[in-house]
Amino acid sequence: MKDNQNHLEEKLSELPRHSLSKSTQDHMHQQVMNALNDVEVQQKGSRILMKKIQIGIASSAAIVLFGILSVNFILNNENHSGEQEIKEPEVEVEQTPTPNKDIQQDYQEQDQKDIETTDEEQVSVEQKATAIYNALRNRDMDLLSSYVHSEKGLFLSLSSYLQDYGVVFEKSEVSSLLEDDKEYTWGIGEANMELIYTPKDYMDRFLKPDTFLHPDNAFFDSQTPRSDLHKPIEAAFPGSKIVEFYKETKYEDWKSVYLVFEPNEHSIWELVAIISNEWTP
Amino acid sequence: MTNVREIISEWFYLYSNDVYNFLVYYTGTTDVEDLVQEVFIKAGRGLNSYKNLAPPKTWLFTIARNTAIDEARKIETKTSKKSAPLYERLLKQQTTANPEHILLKKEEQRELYLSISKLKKKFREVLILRGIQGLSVRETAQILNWRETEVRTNYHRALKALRLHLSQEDRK
Repeated sequence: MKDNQNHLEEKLSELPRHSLSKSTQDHMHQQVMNALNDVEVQQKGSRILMKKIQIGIASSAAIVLFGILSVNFILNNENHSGEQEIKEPEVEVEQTPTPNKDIQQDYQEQDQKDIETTDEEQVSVEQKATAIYNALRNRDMDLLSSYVHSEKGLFLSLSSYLQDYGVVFEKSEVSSLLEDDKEYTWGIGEANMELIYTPKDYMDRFLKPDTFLHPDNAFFDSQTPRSDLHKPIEAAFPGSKIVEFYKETKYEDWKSVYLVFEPNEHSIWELVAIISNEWTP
Repeated sequence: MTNVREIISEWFYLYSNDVYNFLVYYTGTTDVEDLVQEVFIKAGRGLNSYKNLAPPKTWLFTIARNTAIDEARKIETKTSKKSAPLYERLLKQQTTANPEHILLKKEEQRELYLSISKLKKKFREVLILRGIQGLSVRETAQILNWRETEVRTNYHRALKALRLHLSQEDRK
């Protein structure tokens, strides 16, 4: 029996290898390179945008720092002698976006709380995930919004475009999301076309209940063969808990929807993102 | 990620023959140059999402398989639009591979491939990837999005089914 199997495997490996002729290969190579001409330009564009954002972040951080330093400086000066008043920094302090400070504080608080998961938390996240699944299936946006993170809101995105696209909606906006007729860009589809949808159309396309999951196929913070696919999400949401709903379809291609949870200020895990992933490369 | 075209160009010369050979066996025809091209174009466009999670060859095979499934689906939609009876459609769907077009000179090898193409899709795929392409269990699992244990058991069952099919053919 074993010999028989080895013999068959040998026969399989002996099937001839088909290969392209050098000239066909060169011709095809040229075609591929021509087709990818526009990709280069687009990538450069997005890099420039990224740089701008980085510069923006860097400069606002500089303003904050400068502002804090100047406040200290002024306070110190007031304590001693207030002769050499510098007016400009005061203006800078007023201009300093206060929400930034809040966010910084939030992060610090979160770090201090040290996100360690207990079994109870795990169960509560699992229960929430199931309830959220039902809310999505029934398009019960009020119910959905009740699970959304009060400060961070809800980030809707496609897994492949996590870094560059996706939209954040505030908790208060989620209830009326289906009525929002503004169009957003969610990523780049086939033939380099931008994927532009209203939130409702996005949900009908990527969060259609019958295309994602069966509740039995939910993985909670899973170590599944597809765990590798979680890595970009884990990187984008450090310390989060991810629940994946996974569905195989008729053609054995697949679809996953990830629910991402982060703790709020009271250490209650709330929904911060719904990310869709499917087999199309 | 400095230059998409440089990376794809390098991959093209390293792996286009592997992708071609895989698609020939996967679709059952040697007329797959367009599909090979499409695979590398898609890879170039999707390079942002690649993130080195799998070796390039495995990733390209995943795209190749998806592209072939997509192509088969397009053909299927076209034929179903012509309102073919359901059983005919199901028959076509059962095997995308068309062994008539594949260049296999030895009679024995033709029979072997014909038998593979008559097996169910799951078995066909694992035999092509593991048996014919000689990919590892891990690589096959990544491409098919299966667990490694699934690859092992399905490969084992597929070999068994193939052997049975071949012996039945012999008796005819």
